[in-house]
Amino acid sequence: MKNAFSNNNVFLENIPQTENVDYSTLEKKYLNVMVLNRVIWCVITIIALIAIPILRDDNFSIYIYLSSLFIWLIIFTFTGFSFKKKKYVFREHDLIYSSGVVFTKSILIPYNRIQHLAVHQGVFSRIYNLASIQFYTAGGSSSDISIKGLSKEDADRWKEFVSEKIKKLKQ
Amino acid sequence: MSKLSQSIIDKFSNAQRQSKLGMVVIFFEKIINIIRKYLVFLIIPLFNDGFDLVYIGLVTSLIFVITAVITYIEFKYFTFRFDFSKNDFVIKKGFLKKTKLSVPLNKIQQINLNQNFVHKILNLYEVQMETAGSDSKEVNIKAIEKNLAIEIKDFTDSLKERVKINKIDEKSENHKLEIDFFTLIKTGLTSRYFETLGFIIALFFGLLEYLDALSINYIPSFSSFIKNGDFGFIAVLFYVILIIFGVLGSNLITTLVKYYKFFTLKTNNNLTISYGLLSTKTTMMSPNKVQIFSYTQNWLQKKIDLCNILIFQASSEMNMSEKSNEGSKIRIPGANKNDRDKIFDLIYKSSIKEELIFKPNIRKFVLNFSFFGLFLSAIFFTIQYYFSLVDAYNYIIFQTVYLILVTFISWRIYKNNFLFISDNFIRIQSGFWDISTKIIEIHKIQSIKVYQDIWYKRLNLADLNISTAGGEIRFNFMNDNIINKLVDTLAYKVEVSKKNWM
Repeated sequence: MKNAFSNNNVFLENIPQTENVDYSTLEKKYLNVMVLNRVIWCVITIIALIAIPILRDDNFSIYIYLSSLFIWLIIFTFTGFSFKKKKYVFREHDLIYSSGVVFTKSILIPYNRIQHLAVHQGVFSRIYNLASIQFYTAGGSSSDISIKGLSKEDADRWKEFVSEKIKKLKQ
Repeated sequence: MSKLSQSIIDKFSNAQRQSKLGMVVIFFEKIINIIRKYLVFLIIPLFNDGFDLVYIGLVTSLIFVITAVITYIEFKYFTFRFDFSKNDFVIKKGFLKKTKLSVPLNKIQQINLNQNFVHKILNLYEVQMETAGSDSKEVNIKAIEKNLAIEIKDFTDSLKERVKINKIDEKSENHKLEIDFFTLIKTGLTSRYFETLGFIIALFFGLLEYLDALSINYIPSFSSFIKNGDFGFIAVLFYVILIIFGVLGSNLITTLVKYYKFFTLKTNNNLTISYGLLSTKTTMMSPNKVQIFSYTQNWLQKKIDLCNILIFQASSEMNMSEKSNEGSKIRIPGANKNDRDKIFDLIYKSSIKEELIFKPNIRKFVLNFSFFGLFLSAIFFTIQYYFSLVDAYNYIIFQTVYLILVTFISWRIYKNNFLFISDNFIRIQSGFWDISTKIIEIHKIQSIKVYQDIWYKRLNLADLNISTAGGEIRFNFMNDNIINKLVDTLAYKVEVSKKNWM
């Protein structure tokens, strides 16, 4: 048992490197879900922009309409980039998820720090047979990973894979 | 187990009630809560003409009677005991809605014995048990006798660690740390300037809001003060000195009252910390639950070898209100370098050896300086140009002082920022006045985040953020190649580590 843990010097060259990691991208179908989500929010904004002036009986200035049009144009153009930038990789001992077009953020969680994990399916995702998988740590919500836009089968398989890893580590 | 503990086992196997005198404590707590919440409603009638003494008296006595009844019911239906078969601490409470709370003893990460003013008079204690899990609620026994409280504390501790109850070991005398009155005075006078200043400003605006609520018009007296008040050099100096005295005085008093008779003691595997003048707080924590060890020291404190230690424990309510956050933070006011090393050694049983040192990119300075210095100055200039609020002479003086200050602060922020990596520890130093150093053990890392904004990418810069169960530490403006290598190294160390993070 005493030999199970060693703490020799480690040289940077020998450690597996994150920069050369092959990330996987999400299912193509997930782009549809993202667009659908944005369309719904867009419709809600349009309804609000039409309804509020009627209810309050006075008109918004033209700049409000123009700026919201502008914002939505940007949001829709960025959807494709945003989709492409979301990527993940499961490695032997940890997983990495990276996302963000302007503010790129990548999170690494070692399997031995995962508290629990869950597979989730939203309304639109169900139509396209997609699912998301969440990994929770004790480090607070900002350090949890949620990978959306996996096929249901993949999500279940990854869940199985990581659960096995955790179980083995616990022994 | 010895005979003594056998009698305790018998005692705790049966359901126990709180002390009967404890009802007084619960009653006062409730009344104070009510007064706090509805103070505005109590004061408004005093300002109105329709002030009816009989009416007020009736309402007050009704509130008192209802509170007394609720207190009695709560007391009557509140029991606690140890369940030895499951190794649980069990609380039953509630009259209409009954609650049974079982807390596994090994999940308890901290036990507090608290005394407020009423407790002190009646010689009673409040017992709190804190757990790290988000699913199990906290145990809070409002008022029990002193010896019972201490028995619970020792007993839980010993059951938890599965060791025999020991009286405090004579040999552990050198593990005792006391902070004397004089050190507390020194700490009070040298720490938390900016927090207290912010607090005083917040209090000022809170007061204005309160006056608003009472519909007292304070604006005329203000504007007349600004119009007619003296703003010469002497007057400004006087206001500044007044504010400084306010900050120092309130710091000194709060430090003395809050941390009076502060001492830490190592017993078994735990660290006991006790302090307070009006209300005493005794906290017991296990060192392996510590997630971040941090200390701050400013320029003045460096001269007199003094620092404030903050210990962050694992907490599930990290993102919740500040009050619950306070619970998992332990502050040691005024330790010298020797004490600091001693406490560090007590918690981690090792010391930091050979470290790799990293500095942030010079852009940390450039960016801070450009934004706070140049960009804001440009805004001031525009405002001055179009509205000319103050005369040109004063503007130039203000602008020069501001720029010098920003340059100095930005430079200090850059200069004092370091990242140290050793075999087992990460250490980050930051700040411009209160230089804080945060230390985490590498195997307690929960996740590692790297942030890279699009305009950093060209410059090969990125930010590193390391989360533990007790909070996170961040190091900005670093070469992304180095960050990637660091992430690899740290992840590797976490993954091969067999040690528990808690």
